[in-house]
Amino acid sequence: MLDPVLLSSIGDLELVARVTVDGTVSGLHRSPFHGYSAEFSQYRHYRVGDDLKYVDWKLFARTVAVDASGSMAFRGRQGVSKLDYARMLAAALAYLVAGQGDAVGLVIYDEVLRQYVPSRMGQSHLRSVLLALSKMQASGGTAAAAALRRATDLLRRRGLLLVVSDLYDEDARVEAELRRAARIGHEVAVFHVLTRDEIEFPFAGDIEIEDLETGRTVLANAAATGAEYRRQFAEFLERWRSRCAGYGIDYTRVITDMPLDAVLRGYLLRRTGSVGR
Amino acid sequence: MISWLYPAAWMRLAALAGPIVVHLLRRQRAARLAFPSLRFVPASRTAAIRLRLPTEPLLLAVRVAIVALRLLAIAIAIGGVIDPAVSVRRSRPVRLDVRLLDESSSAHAARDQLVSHLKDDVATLNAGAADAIVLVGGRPDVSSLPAKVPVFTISLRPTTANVRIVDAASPAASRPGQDVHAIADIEATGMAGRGSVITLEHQGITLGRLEHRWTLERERFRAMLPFTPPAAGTVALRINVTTADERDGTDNATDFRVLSFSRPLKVLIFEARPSWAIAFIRRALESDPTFQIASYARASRGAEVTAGDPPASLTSGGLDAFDAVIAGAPEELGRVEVDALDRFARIRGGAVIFAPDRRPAGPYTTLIPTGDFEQILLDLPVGISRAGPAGNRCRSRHRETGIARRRSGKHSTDRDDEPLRRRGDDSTGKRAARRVERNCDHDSALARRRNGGI
Repeated sequence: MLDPVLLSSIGDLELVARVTVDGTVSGLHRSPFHGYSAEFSQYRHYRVGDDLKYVDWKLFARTVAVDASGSMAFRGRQGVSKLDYARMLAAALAYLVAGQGDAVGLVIYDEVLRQYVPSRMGQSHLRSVLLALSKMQASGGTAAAAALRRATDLLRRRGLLLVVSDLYDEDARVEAELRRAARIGHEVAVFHVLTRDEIEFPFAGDIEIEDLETGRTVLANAAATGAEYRRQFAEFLERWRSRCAGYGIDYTRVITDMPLDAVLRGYLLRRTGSVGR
Repeated sequence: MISWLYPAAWMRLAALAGPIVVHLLRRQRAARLAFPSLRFVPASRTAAIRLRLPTEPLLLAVRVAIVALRLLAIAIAIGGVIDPAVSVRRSRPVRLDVRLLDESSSAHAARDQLVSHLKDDVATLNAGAADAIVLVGGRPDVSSLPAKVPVFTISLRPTTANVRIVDAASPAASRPGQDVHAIADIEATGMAGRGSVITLEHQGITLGRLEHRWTLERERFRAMLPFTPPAAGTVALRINVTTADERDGTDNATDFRVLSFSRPLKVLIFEARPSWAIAFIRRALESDPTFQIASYARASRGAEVTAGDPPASLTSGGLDAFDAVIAGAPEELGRVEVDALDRFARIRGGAVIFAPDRRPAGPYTTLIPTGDFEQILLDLPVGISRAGPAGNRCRSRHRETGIARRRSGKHSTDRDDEPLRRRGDDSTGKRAARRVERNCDHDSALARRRNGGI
């Protein structure tokens, strides 16, 4: 198991991605991708005579969309911040995609589309993606809907859209954009990154809560408001899970104290199942 | 007294609530928490949070109690609100108009002294609308004084030199030829640096005379003039004080009488335990018709040996019939007995002679001016002869009591030429005997003072 705290202390994001992906892929019992070998190696170009059922139609369109809004800077009482976790997770996904010979792109957004790295193949491009991820800083509010629309439009062909976010945007608009991307034909996977403190709200006494995105503060008594918060947050999580399930979107709830390789492995196993179906 | 016109009093009153204000202000601020979103944080009632109960309620209770006690103290102070027994004077201070009627230094001094004495009770001096007027020195002009205002005067009489006899005590009855002292207490005013002559006169004949120089403006002096009655009977004496330039001489003389009688001296010989020294003294005195001897000896527990008419115990009343008391083994005397002897000597005027044969100890040592004694044990009987010049101290003391003088004279005559009796050639006994000879001519030679005779 790869401790996220340990991984976040490694300055080389490529190394982090490689360690994560190598350990994850080699541990899988079954490749999530079609092929003849027991273990996935990489894609190759289509040659005459190949069975069309083994063609991965989403080969050349994989874009990772990372939420870099202010709320992603939340670290909780221990562990890594959501942004760091998202950075490592996106790097691992990019490394995985690039490793199998696919083009990988990157979208970093907060209130606006802050950075866009178009999808390309090759190790040098991968380093560009990792560099962009390593420089990513959390700031501003969240306008995920516009950024997702933009990312979807940039996928000129059908492809895979990997969204890494805490989804604190307006639910309806984000939901509409994700639904639109799925309806267009993209495969959409959502990594809902959260901290344990956000879910459990383990605070006590009077606290002055400051919104990381807006700076607004609220005085609250944790004992009085905790139960209501947990109830509403549970509804929020359930709402997203059910929505994604309804629209065929792969939904993965990621808590920042979870081992990164386990998260990645879980995702790949689920994806294997979906492909196998 | 609390003055409510004093602004600081109001400030102090406001400061009473300081501890509570500090307590409330020291409430811990709510912890600040940066959180991803406030979407799911229910809207809090801010007012309820700001007015939450203060922390550390016990400390708050103590501080409130302090303030309450202070308020209680103020309530008591300003009018006995709580305790009716407490009363505070709230009337305005008395205003005195102090007027100097002359500009002498004594008048100023009297005014200053008055001010210093009344400064705590009188708020205003020399005020126009005075409650009372004080006139210092001089002669007041009555017509200038306002009506219905109390007027007090301080008269400053010029200091005049005066000497007067305040008290004079007749000496106790004595025997012819026995010295007595005429005692007079003399007080002088304004006589510093000057002198007075005190004389003891009998029928115009000066019997004694002494001079005294006064050093203080107001001084008291006790004059003691010796007198020896020549024969039995009553002698009228006068003490006269003469001072140059004294205006008033009416209080400078006093008359008294001295009673002299020729009866035998009554002597009580008291032995707290039998002692050889007392035995020898008693035998010597019993053979002298000058003395009437009464003796009492505690032979042992419950056994007493008496002769004559001694009192049953040494008490103040029982000793009044005697002229002298000779106490043997005085270290055995109790505090009551010592006190009775002290009273007998000081008030009755009797003579008390201690004849110790051991190191002085016990309550009676408080009557002896020194406690520095050295005990010498003589291992051989020695004869005591009168010493030469070294015995002056003892002889001079003997002159103060007729008993000792007579006894000393009689027996010393018998012993002047008596050789030292000793048994054998023991050098220790010889040295001890010589020490005794050098230091004292007392018969009781077993104890001596380190620095002189007994």
